[in-house]
Amino acid sequence: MDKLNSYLTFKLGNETFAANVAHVLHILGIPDITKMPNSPDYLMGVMNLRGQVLPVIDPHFRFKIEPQEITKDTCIVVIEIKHNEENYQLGSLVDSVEEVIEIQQEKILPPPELGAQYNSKYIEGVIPHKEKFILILNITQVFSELSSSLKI
Amino acid sequence: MEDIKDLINSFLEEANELISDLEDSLLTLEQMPTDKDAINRVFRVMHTLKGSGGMFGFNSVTNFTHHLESIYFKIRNEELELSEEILTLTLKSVDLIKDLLKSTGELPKSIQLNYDTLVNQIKSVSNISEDKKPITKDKPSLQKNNKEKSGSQYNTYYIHFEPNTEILQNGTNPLYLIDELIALGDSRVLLYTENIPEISKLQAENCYVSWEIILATKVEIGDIMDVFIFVEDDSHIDILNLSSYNLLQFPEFIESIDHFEKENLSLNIIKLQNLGKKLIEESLTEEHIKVQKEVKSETPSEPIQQKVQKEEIKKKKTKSEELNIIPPISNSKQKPKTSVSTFSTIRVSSKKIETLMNLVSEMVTSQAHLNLLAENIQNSELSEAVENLEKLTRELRDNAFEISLIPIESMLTRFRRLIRDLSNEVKKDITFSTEGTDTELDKTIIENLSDPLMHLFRNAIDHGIEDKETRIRRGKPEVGNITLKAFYSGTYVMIQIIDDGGGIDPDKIRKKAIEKGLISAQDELSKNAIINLITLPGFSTAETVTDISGRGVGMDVVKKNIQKIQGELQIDSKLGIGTTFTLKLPLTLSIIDGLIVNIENTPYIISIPVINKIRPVEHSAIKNAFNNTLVIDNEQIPFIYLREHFDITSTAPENELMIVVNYENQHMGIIIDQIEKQSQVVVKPIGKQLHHQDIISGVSIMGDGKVALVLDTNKIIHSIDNSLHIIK
Amino acid sequence: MKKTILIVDDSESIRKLVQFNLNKAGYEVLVANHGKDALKYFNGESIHLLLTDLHMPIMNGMELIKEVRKLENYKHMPILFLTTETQISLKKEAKDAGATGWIVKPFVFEKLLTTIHKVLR
Repeated sequence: MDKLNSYLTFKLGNETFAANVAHVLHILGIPDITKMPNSPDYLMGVMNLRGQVLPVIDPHFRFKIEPQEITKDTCIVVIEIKHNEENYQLGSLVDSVEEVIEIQQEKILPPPELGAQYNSKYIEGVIPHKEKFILILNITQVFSELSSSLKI
Repeated sequence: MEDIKDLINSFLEEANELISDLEDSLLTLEQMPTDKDAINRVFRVMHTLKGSGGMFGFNSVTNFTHHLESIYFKIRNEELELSEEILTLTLKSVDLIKDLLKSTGELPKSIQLNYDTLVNQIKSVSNISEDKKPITKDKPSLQKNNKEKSGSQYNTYYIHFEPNTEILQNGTNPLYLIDELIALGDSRVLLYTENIPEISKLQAENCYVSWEIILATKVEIGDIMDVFIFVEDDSHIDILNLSSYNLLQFPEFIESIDHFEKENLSLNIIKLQNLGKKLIEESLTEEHIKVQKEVKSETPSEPIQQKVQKEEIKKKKTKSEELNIIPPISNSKQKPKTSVSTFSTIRVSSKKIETLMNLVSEMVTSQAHLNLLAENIQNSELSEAVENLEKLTRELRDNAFEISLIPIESMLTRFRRLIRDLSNEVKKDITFSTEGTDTELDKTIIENLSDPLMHLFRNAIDHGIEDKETRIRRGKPEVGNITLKAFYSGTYVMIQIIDDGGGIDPDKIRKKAIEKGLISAQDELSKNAIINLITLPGFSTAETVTDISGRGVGMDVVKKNIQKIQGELQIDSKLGIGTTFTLKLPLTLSIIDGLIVNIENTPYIISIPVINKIRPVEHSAIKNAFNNTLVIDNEQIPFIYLREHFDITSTAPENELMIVVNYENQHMGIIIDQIEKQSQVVVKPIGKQLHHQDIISGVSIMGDGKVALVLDTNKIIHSIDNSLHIIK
Repeated sequence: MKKTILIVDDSESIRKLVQFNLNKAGYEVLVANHGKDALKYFNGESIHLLLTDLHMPIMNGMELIKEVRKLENYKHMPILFLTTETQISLKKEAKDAGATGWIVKPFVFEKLLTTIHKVLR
């Protein structure tokens, strides 16, 4: 019964987060991003992924982390979520991609009380890793909220 | 007795399933009257009901479906078009069949009455189609005639039947089949036994004989094939049409066959065919002379053509052409059909067309990329090749695009029904006429049109057309009319819904708009502007003056829906005379001629057809402009400063450009930084997450892979227009 | 002399209906629920035509046809099977098993008679 789950870890500011690889489609360098006029700050614009036009979202603000300067480590993680029975694809800015780790289901700790900084509904669990704790993001929650808040 | 009840119950169960299947198919047909599968399903259900109904004692079902089936038989054979009338008739028939299934014995009076009425209507529908035949255009009527002829006229066939030697082992008796053939018409049968082996090698259970048959029959070739249906897979069967006349009526022909038989030779088909031709040629000439004589002696007044036509050409005019007999007097209307059958249309699933369009779109995008690369490399040979390829891409795109268009007619069926049903409901006599329904539009647009059109029709019926008394009082025809008129206008398609009803009273609208706070009492508006107020959100409420309220119900929604497909809605109305709604729609949403412009390094696309002209303007002039209006070419043009509109804070270039666009019969300026280029662009719908973007109607991928945003100039202007509160 | 037709079908209503109509048309009719049930008649009894459904429990039509064709006395007896339009692919299989022909269900009774007439006079 030791089910292995794979997580992609990445950084936003100094904090390390993990995303279940089931949601991750691609990892890209920073492409040309076309800004959308009159759009909210977290919507960086739209990008072309092999003929598909996807919105690019900057999730920093969600975790009250200062947006960082774009460096050679900055990446776009293309993720797919299902929301209201529809599949959405979008690009998420991350400051750097770390690694893919595998962990048994039972080693994942429940989300802790994190205080005011992170809303616990965005955190699925915690992975103890190399004497640190990595927060597993509830990708669907994080981004479906962003994308639905993009609708009027 | 129990058994029979069970029998009937099991049949009724089956019948109910069939009927619900039938209803499903009819619903499909309501949307897509030409859906072959659905027509076939309807036909099959009728056929089955007809068959099994009788088997279980429901003779009324059998008799009734027999009538109905005949209509669908014609539709299936494309001899009759599935009209709204037929569809309604069928729906009524389904209800009747349900009733019929409830009674085995004598029908209750009311049902019998309904039965008789419907049968009469069905008969008249199928008869109308027959009456219409001569009126219809050349080609179809000829085809029809041919079909009829093949049903009622003789053909002479050569049939060669060589059964598998083991045919007897499957319980087939080939002699029965020969009997069955003979029963179809006149025939000569030749038996060949030369394959029978010598006694020592002979196996009693095998069949060694074969047959050649000359059959003159009125049945179609399919019926002949049917005779061999059980053995066609493992026997050698040839069926050849020797002639479209009964050749066995000529003694000379029979003699010739007998000759072959006597000599124990196989029939020489070529010889027989030539002989047949000769015999017919002779007889036709004789007949023709005879007819001419008759004409001269009897009724000199009757045109010769007619007489000849009746007496002989009718017989097999088209076929005589094949036989190189040119009738001495020919009537141009009776052009012989030269080719047997060619497919003028094929059905392709819309899924496939969608895929094709997507591929073509991607190809156009890749082409743009390629152009860019070739431009950078500056190699003349490469440039030439790329140019050629671009030409092809363009042609391919245009062709593929054309394929994806569908005629407006395809969505009219449901409106016809709606109009009839609704006008019955409100007890008004309304005719519905159409014009230009072969005008074609992109499938997506058609799909998105039906809701707004439905609204417009509903409103016209509910509130546009007056009741009979009012119409009479106003000196109008008793019967109201609603017309749908479609036509091309440049790169647009215009659709008009015209009613000859009471029209919209601008005074009432104005009063109401003031009440609602949409305009102030001081506002001076043109009559047209007032009428168009009804499309403002918040104009309509339930408790308004009947004469106009209907116009307001959902009119803002209608307008919004039309704008969603890049269309415009214009309303013209004359009080007491009628109202015209004009929808201006783009031919397609997917590929546009675009001007790529730049604002703060972001590429935007403006559709070229809406652009009137482009003029340079200095930034200072824009800054200093009064009321956002500049005089360009002696014309006051209100403009929109997009940098401001988009909250762009960086420094603007000193010289900017004004794109003057046409907007509802006037000009509006849009200020941009600079022009990049002009290009055909493939517009992709905006991602689901970006729907809130009202002013961006889509995106397009440029040759360099960058995403450009398609500006919806109408919406930009509108958003400002609304905030300006419609003072023009 | 009346010809005898054996009807094999697991649906009672079809069986009875066909029996009723064939009786009226002047045939002697035997009935069976399924293949195994039908085989009891093939003991030398004179059967002129076998009319069988394909989908039946216990022994299906295909097996029945094969079994019957093995019997010396019934090698040339015509066999028609009942099929539906959706099972047309079964025709070849059934023919290979030894069937003479088929009739597509549902059918008009006249059609059944003409089809029977194709193989039985």
